[in-house]
Amino acid sequence: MKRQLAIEIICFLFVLLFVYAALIKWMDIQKFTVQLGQSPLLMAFADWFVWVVPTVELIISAMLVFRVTRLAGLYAAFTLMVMFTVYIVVILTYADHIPCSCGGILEDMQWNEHLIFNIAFVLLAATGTSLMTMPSKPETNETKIYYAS
Amino acid sequence: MKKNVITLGICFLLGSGIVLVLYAASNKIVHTPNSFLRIYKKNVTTRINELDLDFNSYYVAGITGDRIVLGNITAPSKLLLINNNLADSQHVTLRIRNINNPTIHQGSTIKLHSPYFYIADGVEPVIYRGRTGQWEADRFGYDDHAYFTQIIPIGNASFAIRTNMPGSFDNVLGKVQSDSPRIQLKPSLLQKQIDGVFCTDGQLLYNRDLKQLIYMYYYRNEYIVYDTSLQLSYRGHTIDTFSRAQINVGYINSSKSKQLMSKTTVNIRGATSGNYLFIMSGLLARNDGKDSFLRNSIIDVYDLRTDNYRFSFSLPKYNQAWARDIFVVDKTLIALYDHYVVQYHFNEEEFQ
Repeated sequence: MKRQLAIEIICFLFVLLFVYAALIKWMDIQKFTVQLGQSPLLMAFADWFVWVVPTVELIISAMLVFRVTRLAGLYAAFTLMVMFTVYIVVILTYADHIPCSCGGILEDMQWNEHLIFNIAFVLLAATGTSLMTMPSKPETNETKIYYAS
Repeated sequence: MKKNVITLGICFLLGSGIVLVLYAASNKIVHTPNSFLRIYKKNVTTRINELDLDFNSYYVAGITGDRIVLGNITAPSKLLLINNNLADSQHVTLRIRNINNPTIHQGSTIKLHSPYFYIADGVEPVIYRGRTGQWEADRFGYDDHAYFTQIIPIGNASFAIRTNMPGSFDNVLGKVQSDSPRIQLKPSLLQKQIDGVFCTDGQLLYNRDLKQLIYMYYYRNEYIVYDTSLQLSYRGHTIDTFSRAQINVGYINSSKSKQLMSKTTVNIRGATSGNYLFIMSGLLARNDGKDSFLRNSIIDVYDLRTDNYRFSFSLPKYNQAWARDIFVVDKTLIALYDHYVVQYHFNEEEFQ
């Protein structure tokens, strides 16, 4: 039961993070477009990413809400957080000042704080998946059903 | 359990792979050689001296006699005078006379035009003038409010400026002087291509030997040569092929502003002396090695009398830093690198 609670908390944190990040980006979409345009990695794809990134964040949030898609959602969240983290590492190798495009309170973090924040969420997602796939006495069958989905 | 670790591993590789592919793709765009060619000359410069300045906020304000005068962006009332062989340096604090509570605001720039130095504040706007060597300045007869974003003294009482047009805020070149007409603007010198502010951004230079002003665009292959009465001499072209400003401008309604999103800097910094214009280029030529750009800054030399490209030379990095600014006077090239100043001597036979 404790395990179930931990999974619920992890999923809740991810839903909170992704829904907040997605909506705050769309609330000032012009600003978000400009910030993406200033990124050396994304400038060529800025117009496209403005829609793709928040949409993916919302889809993953929805997946985490429903039990059937929860495990797949955690893997997706893990992948997305790995992408954001690698992006920061790459950005840090550029000398120029590059604005962060996360939006809202997340934007106020320093790049290295951001890196730690992201790594924490990567580990959180990994923990979530292992909690869900770990064989347990009464719930073994149920877990296997999740796996198949 | 094992399956979970494998799935996480695949997700990790997938996630980082996507980002690294983006990185490689953007890197390729940035470092694609262009279709023009450079003529390289070797041994154009010889490094003679270098000095650690401790701070990276210094810029060259000018040269007086045997001294190089450096201004400091973060401490506008301080000057650093270094002698010609960079062996001896002296700190000077500028004073303003005959004014109650004078302050030299952040953003003020110091410019030398012997025998005077000027403290120019384009926001206030105000100009102070004093004699070099005494380092005390008086408010200079400049009571009309003409704001400016760049300024260069071109005589004892006149200045070339860059400012913004009222209303549109487009960049415009002009002149201010103590005699009438005090302010002259010549909007036809700069040619708007995209937004009028970013697309016309560049560096204003003055060649004292030829008495010509030069405005070097940052984002297109052009420099404008004009005289001190604002008459266009000609529009010169740098050797690359970017005739249109290589920028994207984004507009944000929520803060009523526009921002430069992406840019390709064609001309990074310029310097001029004698008959020549020196431009630190931001573009690779077809015959440039990729690693030459990683190890050097590339300077293209143009002859201002004939509007011709002469040759290029490379200026090596110093202590792992690229030159951030260059200044040329006679046979000396002064380059600033991070918090170092390095002096080079031009080998004369290259300039025949």
